Amino acid sequence: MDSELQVSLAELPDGEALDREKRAIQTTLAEQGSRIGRLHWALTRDTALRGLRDCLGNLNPVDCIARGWSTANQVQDLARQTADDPNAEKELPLAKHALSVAVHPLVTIHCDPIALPTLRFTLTIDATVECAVLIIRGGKLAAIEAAQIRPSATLSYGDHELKRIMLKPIEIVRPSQFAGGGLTVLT
Amino acid sequence: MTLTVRREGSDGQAHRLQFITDRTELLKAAIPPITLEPNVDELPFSVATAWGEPGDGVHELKIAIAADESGEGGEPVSVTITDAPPNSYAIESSANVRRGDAIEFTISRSGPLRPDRLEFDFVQDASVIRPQGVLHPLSFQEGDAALSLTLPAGSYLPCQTPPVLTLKLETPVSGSASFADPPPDYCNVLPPRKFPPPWWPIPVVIIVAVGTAYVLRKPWAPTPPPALYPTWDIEAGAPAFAAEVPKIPGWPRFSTRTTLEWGGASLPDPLPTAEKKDG
Repeated sequence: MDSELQVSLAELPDGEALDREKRAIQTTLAEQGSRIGRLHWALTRDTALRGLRDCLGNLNPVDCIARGWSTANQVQDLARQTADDPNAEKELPLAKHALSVAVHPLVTIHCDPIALPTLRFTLTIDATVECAVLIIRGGKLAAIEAAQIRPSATLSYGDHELKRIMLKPIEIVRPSQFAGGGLTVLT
Repeated sequence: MTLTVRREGSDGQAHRLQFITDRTELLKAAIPPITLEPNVDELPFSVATAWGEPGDGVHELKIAIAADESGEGGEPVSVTITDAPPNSYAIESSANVRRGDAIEFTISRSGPLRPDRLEFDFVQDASVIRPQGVLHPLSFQEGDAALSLTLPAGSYLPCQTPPVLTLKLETPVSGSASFADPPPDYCNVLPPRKFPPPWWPIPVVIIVAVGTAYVLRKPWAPTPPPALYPTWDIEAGAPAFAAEVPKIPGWPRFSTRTTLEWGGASLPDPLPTAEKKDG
């Protein structure tokens, strides 16, 4: 997705939120017997925080929402209809609806030569879509246009919510192409 | 010393004379008054001087007759008291004493017979004998020219040389007793030794026993298992071992690797589509 449409998620994680789950995170890090997470908690926390921010900073919420759409049966039908011709194109105009997608940032802390057990966070993006037109071309979700989306993001560790933020509303007027010719739809 | 009072002129009366001295410490006691009878013109009398110490020098003593209204005392007389000579001591012992009997020593002195106290020791073969009942020090009373000191029987060893009495003077004076009889036979009997000689068979027996045991042991003793010892050859040019355990530079150095895992989506099925008519 074009960069001007990106809404940064890098501000989602913070140190205080990780401190609240200190015990659970340390328990995971000590699963293979290492004491580093307990002995160097501040370093461990800051390293995990840095990794999360790098990861989420490069994540585009629109891409996540589009990937959620790509799982819908209608989108997959249109993808199959256009899969044989790279120039074949179908549109799917969407009315107001809500959707939720989840991705898991997997953070592995290295304290050379040791690699600690991976921390599995959960990012949940909830979006209210006012309207959107999905353009399917050549079997891929190629672009979006005329979209109005109000997203929010929640970061969790295990069953515990670390932080929730409201993202800026997304408005897409002209067709906005996904990189690489579009998102792969067919599974 | 003897002084004489001489009267010149006579009033036919008796006079009681009193004497005055300038250094009373030189006299044993003050000169007592004397009475000079009417018919006596000269009267000698004795004055006892105090005992001095040898080396305390020559002293001058003035004696005068106290004058009274009955007559004049005349000129005082000066007396020179010479330095007291030191005493000399000699020790004799009874000869031909039987070994083990009491030995009597006689200590005689010459010179002034002043009171004196002497320390002494009985010595036998360089060992000091301190018999009970013998008082220390030896005390000479005034006028004593000799004293006897008895070493009690049984207080010395009869097999050794005769005891010697030594007076602890600036120059010690000693006197030895003499025994009348030779040492008895038991004095020549040596106490039996615990390990009488000869001793040389002892090491010889030990050496022979050890040697025999060693010779007999060789064919009978089980052969010990071979001992293995590690060897370590160092080749020239081989890399040297690190002297210390290598450290991890900058450790701990934290870093992260992150990946994303798709977690699924929740959306209405079917997706609501917009009306194709103009809204």
